[in-house]
Amino acid sequence: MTNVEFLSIVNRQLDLLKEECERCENWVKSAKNEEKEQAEYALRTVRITRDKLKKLIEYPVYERIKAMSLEEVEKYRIDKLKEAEEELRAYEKQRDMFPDTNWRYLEKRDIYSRYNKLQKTVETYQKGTPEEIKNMWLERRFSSNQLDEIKREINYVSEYGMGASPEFTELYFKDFNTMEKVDGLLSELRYNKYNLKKPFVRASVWTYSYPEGKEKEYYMGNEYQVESARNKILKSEKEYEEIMQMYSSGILKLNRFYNLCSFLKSQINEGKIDENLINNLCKLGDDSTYSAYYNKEAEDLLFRVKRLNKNSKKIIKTYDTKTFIDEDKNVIKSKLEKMYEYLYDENMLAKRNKFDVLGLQITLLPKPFEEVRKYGDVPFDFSYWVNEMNNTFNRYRESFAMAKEVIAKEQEKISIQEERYQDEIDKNIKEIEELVGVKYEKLPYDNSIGVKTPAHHGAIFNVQNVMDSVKYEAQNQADMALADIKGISVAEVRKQRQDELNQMREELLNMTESRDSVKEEQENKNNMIR
Amino acid sequence: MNDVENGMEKILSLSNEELEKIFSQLSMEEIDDLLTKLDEVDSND
Repeated sequence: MTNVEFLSIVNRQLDLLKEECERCENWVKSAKNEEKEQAEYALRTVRITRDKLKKLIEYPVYERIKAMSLEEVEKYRIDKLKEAEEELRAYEKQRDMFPDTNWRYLEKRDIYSRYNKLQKTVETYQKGTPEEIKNMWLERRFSSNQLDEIKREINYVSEYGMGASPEFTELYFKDFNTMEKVDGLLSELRYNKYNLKKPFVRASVWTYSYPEGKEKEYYMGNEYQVESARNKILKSEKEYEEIMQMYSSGILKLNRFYNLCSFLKSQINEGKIDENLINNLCKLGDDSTYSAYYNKEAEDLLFRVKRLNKNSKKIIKTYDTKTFIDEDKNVIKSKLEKMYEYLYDENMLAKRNKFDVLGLQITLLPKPFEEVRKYGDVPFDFSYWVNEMNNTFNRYRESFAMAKEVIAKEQEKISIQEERYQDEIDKNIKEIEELVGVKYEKLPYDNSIGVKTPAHHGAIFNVQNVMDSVKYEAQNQADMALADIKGISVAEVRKQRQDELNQMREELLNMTESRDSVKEEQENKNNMIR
Repeated sequence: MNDVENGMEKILSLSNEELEKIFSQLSMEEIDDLLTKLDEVDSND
């Protein structure tokens, strides 16, 4: 167990015991008759536990202070003085900001008492020599009587173990009123297959749960209760194991991602990384899938560890893929580097203190993570993800090539249709020229006249639409240029052209009519000859 | 009480040597914090 872990547990225990004492004191106040006895018993048990813990800590603290070097104390004195003076100045500044009438308010918020304490601290550390400070520390907590008592207690505990200390056994035996049986029970708990080295804690689980005076009855008459206590112990041990396993797995995952970032960073630094890789990696990241998966796990883990140790810090940092999209390469690079630094720090923190477990929501992952979810976890190997991404890109490339082929084929088909269409127009014109006996000059195209086309394949109409719009635009340009040259409006140009076209159409009609009449005349003549 | 039991068990599972080692490594700051904590749980009962 590390120092940090130890202090974290001790602090937590002291807090819990304080809370438990307050709860039991309230219970004693509100309880009546038989329940009152039960409440008093619970209160006594909790107080004994609390005092034992305090005694267990106080003696080594005392020894530690005694062993402190004067240099160490002096250094601490200077640091503490500086710190207290700074805090005091901050309070004084704050005090000056408030008019006198607001001191009552400050008192309510404990600011005033803190201010007074700081004043005393500064005074002490300013005046005291290291030796005086050291004595002050020793006197701060330990009177000579207390020290003797502590030493006695520690010796006893060292010799017999905590569960066998006099106060505890006395209380325990008195309440069960059957020394042999309780002793037997303790042995059973201690040496049974559960291999419980310290029965003190375990036994209290169960004596605490039943009304005072009933333990004997439960113990003697109902083996079920013993089984129940055993199961409870097993269950809590199993849960603890599970939490530790989850914790290890969380750290493993964290390490994997840390390795990924480390790899990315080295690739960036060495200039080896493909420029598009980061962009595509960011764009392909399927955050919804991964965060849902990871968050659930992280939250579950945090929740369980929080239950285990309420002092654990909840640290969740979010790196969202969306923030990377549409940013230039340098911004992405700097963000990755920051993420790397963060992971490095947090990873170290997590290793140092097991209970400061952190949850990470990391969304910078490529899409194939869905497959990982489907088939279970896979080693977090960067090359695996790069391969996956390359495969995805290749699939896109293939699709794109196929699409290009299809477009080319369609275009070919359209060109053929277009040629056929043009052939038909030419054929029609030729036919008219032959009939009329006049060379047809292609007129400027006009939508208002249009070209009568037979019902062709749909593609021809599409081509025709495109041609129409191009030609129409060309006509517009021509009209505008003509209007400019002639110094008239475009509308007038169009009107003139329309008139000309109408005239030509009329001429064409007359020609057709004259051709028809010539043909008719000729037919009449032929008939007459016949 | 489960939390108390779990925590107590961890502390009690430490041997005297382990306890001594932990305390010998505590900084003054940590000792100071610990004493403050002990002051907080003191009561008049």
